[in-house]
Amino acid sequence: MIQAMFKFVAVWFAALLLTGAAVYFSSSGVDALDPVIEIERQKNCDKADTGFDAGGKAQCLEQVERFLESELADARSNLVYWHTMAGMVVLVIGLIFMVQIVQRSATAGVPADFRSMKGPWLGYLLAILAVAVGAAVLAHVTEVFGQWATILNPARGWGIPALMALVWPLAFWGGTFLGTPDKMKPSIPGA
Amino acid sequence: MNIIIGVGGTGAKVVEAVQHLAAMGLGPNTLSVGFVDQDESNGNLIRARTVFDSYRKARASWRDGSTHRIAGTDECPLLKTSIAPLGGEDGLWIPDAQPNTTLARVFGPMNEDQFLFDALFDPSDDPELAEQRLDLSQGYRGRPHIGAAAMTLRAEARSRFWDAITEAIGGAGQQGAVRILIAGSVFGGTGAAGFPTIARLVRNRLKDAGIERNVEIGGILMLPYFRFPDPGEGQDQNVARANEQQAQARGALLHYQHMLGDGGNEEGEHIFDQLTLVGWSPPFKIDVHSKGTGTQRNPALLPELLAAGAAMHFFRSGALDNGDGDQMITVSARRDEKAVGWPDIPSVTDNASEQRYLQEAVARFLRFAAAFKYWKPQIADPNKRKGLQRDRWYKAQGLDQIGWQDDSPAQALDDLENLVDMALGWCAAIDAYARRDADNRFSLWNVGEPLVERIAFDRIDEDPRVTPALSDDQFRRVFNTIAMKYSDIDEDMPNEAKLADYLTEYTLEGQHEKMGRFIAALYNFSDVRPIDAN
Repeated sequence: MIQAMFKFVAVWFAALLLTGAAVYFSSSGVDALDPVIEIERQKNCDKADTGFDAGGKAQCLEQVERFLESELADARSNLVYWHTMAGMVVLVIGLIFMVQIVQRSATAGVPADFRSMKGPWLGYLLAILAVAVGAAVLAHVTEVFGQWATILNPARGWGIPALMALVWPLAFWGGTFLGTPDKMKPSIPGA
Repeated sequence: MNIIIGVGGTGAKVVEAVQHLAAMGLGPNTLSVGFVDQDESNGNLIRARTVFDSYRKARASWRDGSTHRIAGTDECPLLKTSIAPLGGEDGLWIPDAQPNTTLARVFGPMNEDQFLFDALFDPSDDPELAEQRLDLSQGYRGRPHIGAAAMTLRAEARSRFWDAITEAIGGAGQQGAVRILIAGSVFGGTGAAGFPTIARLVRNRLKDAGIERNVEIGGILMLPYFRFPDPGEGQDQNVARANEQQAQARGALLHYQHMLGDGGNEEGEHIFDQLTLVGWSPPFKIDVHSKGTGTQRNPALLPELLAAGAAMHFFRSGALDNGDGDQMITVSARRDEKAVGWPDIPSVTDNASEQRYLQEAVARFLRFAAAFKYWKPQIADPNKRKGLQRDRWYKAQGLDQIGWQDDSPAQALDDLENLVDMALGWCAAIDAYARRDADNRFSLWNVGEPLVERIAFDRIDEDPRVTPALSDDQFRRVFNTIAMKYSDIDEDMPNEAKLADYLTEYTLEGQHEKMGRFIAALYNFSDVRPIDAN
């Protein structure tokens, strides 16, 4: 049991780390932010030369730049938080499945038993897809995860959740494939 | 060299039992099988010879140079015994094979001895009394003195059967020890006549050849262990009757006492190096009676297991020895009249640490048989097989390497199934008759529904019918209950899930080939104890 769960956790952790790092480091430049934010902020600096503090546009633009960097840092932090939270749900789902399949393995003696967890596996896969979609929606329409999805440029705002909707099912498949006792492998599609 | 000779219908049943134990891997490496019966159409003989043929066919499919070979005996002793017919043909000696044989024809014109002949054998034509003119083609009908006379005379004529015995005796020492075991009943006709007669003839040949060492003669004498109703009014009355069995057995045992000596007052002949007497009280009830011919197909009964166990002990360890070179006589017994369990069954080895050897072998075979009846139909069916090909156990046991077009194991599997079915039917009959009386507690095995159809006690001519395939649920139930523990305090045997684990995780080291690898694994992993990964 412990070994099977450890294998799943290892795959899950690798997925968490690698995709987290990839997403984090690929969003390091301010160009990762939604360009509308930068444009609107820069518009405010257009009047900076006409006010009592003439010559302040350059300073304003610097402030915009710092603001954008600050926004980006917040967005990346929120993105990691979002990524970790979604991953935790996947971890819990995966571990529940691993416990179930290892327990089933202890009493499985015929081919129908070996395949008997295929249905639950597909159910959990759908649950993970639902988690990915739900997490994407939450990131876009609520502030639960700090609105990182609306701050980043649309390609990233939707691309990262789309990537996760691919990564987490793959991690679930890989983790359950590795962790499932050989006898029960027919329960894992494609194994 | 090991030889077993079944004399008469009961002797044939003992040989059948020995063959079943040999299929389970309990037999010696080689065994020559002979039958003696005046009634070639005797149902018991036919069934024993059917098992004999099936065994040889299955062995040819799985051992020696076969494509789907089971190698060696350590990992899988199934079918390890090379069984051959005594004398090279079918191993059957019919003392007088002529049709419509009578004792008068066997002896021919008696001339001046006719009065003596008339005094010893009833010359009348009365069907109930006739002895000289009794039709012997259906056996000796419970008249052993007729058979003894006919056999003694006919044994002097050359036959492949007797030539083979003479040859085996002559080769004693050069080819290792020769062990000759004769099995027959003390009641009935052919066996009662032939058992002492043949044993004495063999002993005389030993004496004639001056051989005193390296040949052992064993005997298994079946005392009354079943009873059947007397024939009805419309039936032939000239048959062995149940109520005559006890008296006949008593008379015969007195005869044996005189012949063999009683170890004290009477000095007897040294005929047997070991003699085992097996009986049962109260006797098992058989509902239907028949004289010889094909309908005399009595069901397998528990004492035949004891007899077969004694045979295996004789072949493995030789005659019991009390240190004085005397003939040893042992008698079967049990602790409780109403119960029988493995501790009641004598060990088949002399080694005290192998007391459970028989139980473990039988239990493992029965568990294997249940698994085989489940897995074989799935593997042999192309559609079902397709669904299994991605399973790890399937690949681990090399089933994906088998070419079903070029080297199809289908026939070999059918041959093995045929033999397994016979063994299961044999166990099922023993089981059913042992439990028939509700008061009896039978704790050797559970072989019955759904694996074997319910035994019809009123149709003894029908052999037990084994199901062609077990369903998932049936397999789970049968595999976990078919074998019984030696003792109630023993640990539970590994269940069907463990068997699947073993098939998935372990492979055998022997040089088994193709399907032989899977069969050997299925057998090995059906062990009564958990498999040690090392």
